[in-house]
Amino acid sequence: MRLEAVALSAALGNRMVLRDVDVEAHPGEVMAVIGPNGAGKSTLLRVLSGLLRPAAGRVLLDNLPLAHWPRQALARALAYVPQDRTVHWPLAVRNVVALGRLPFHATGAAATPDDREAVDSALADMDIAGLQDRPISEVSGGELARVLIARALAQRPAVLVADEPAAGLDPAHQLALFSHFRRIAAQGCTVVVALHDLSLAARFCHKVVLLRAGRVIAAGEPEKVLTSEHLRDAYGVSARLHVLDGIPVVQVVGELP
Amino acid sequence: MTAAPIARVEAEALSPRHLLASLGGLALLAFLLSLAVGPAGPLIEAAPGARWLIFTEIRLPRALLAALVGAGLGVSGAALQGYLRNPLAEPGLVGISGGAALGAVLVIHTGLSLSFALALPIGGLLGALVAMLAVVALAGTRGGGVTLILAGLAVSAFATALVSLALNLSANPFASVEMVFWMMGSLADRSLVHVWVAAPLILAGIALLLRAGRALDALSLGEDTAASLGIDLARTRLAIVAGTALAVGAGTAVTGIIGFIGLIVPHALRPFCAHRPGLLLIASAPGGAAMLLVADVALRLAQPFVDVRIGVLTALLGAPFFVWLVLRTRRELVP
Repeated sequence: MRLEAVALSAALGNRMVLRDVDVEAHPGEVMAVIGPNGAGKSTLLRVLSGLLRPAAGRVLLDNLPLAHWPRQALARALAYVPQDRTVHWPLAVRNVVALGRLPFHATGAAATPDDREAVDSALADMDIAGLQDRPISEVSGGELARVLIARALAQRPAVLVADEPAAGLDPAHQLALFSHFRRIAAQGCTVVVALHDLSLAARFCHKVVLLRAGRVIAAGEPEKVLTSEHLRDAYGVSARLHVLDGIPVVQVVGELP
Repeated sequence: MTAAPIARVEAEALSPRHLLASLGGLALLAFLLSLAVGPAGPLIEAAPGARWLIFTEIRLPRALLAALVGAGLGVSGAALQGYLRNPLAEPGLVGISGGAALGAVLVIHTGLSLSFALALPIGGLLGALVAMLAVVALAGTRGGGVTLILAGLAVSAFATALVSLALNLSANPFASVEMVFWMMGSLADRSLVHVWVAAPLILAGIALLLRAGRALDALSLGEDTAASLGIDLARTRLAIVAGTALAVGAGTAVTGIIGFIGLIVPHALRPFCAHRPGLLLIASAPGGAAMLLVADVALRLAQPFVDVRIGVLTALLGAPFFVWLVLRTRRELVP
């Protein structure tokens, strides 16, 4: 499904965090939202997921404003992974992942074979099947990140919105994670991720949205957005996009005075 | 991490169905035991004429009330701990029992309790209702658990102050004693009429709370994720407060304050539920019923030697448990 923000503004308390933002993510696409700390990435993702009401403008999912989506239908279509990775009880890993099936059940309904299949494949996709009986309080930070992504994958969403899913992952699992994002995108999913690793954005994302102080300063294909000028304007660093052995890499040379 | 038996997922061997069946069996056993025990001895030995009277007038109301009130306290405790994601939460925290106590104390203070038998429970119910409305108005429908706790504390504090004022101004020492005893909580000398007054409300409260099970499961992952899983947070909050008001308010209105059941029962059962808040919610109904029934049986067995009120007994058992909780939490925080 297509996820689209039109002339979007959002506030946290009295502070405007997003101003006049237009973004568009299509099925089959992995879209990166990048920008310095406090640029409004997390707020944009929360508004796109229907968790924060925009102050102005609107968000359309499949051409229908989010506010018009019934709660349950939206939960079946769109999965959201927050940056905050707190799990409040020492639940077993499998039980955490199974929470992704919640939108498909009424109270007390037993798990169907469909549910079990979704949970099993999410565990396998995130390489945590071996941890499934372990209490969540006893897994490492990177494992926890994968458990929470698996929870969202178990939802089998048409749109996946993930806030810094790669933070804390080892290089192998970062690559595996983004390869998997590409795979589900190829199957028709719309993927929106906020991230700080510019090389990951350059290598795996079809589209990059660069935010600064709540405004979009560039959006489009990675090589058009990740230019030295844009990176200087957004982050205040001198940086260059290289291609090494066919793989795009963003090299951050240093801070600018 | 070296920490903490709390982090274990124990009892994987026990499926939810077996767990609930065992707890149900336990509650039933405790119920039958409660019917069998009392100063008049086993009912079989009673005179044939007295047998029915003892059963319907004394034993049955007492056992039914213990089961209902215990279940209500257990489920409310589990619901609040799940909603606030805090294992130290208990029904008293949201001001409902304080409100019920104030309502009952005012009824005694004004002498209304002497005019008709149900004046006390009705006063307690009205007190619980007012407390609930005050908490909802103060806490609002949005905002996290902290606002709910603060609103509950404010209402509790105000209710406690007014109870003290009523005691302070009471011209009649008998009324004062009655107020103090009422607040200690008791299951004695309640009739089936009391049961009929409280039962529908307690059951409605439990039903309302049980429906929040999915929401509590989802809230394990925080409010944003819960909302993204289709949970209506404002409605959940309202259901938790209203359900607690009904389940605990109606119970307290009839029995007085019985503390700690709502704290201990969810705690004791959590490991057996693999820490799942939704399952714990259901398990805490038979668990709470069984615990209050057993406490009440123990009370009656001890009665020939020492006459203790149920609220005092649960507090005597509960306070050391709370100390143990504090020590365990301290161990986890400072390894």
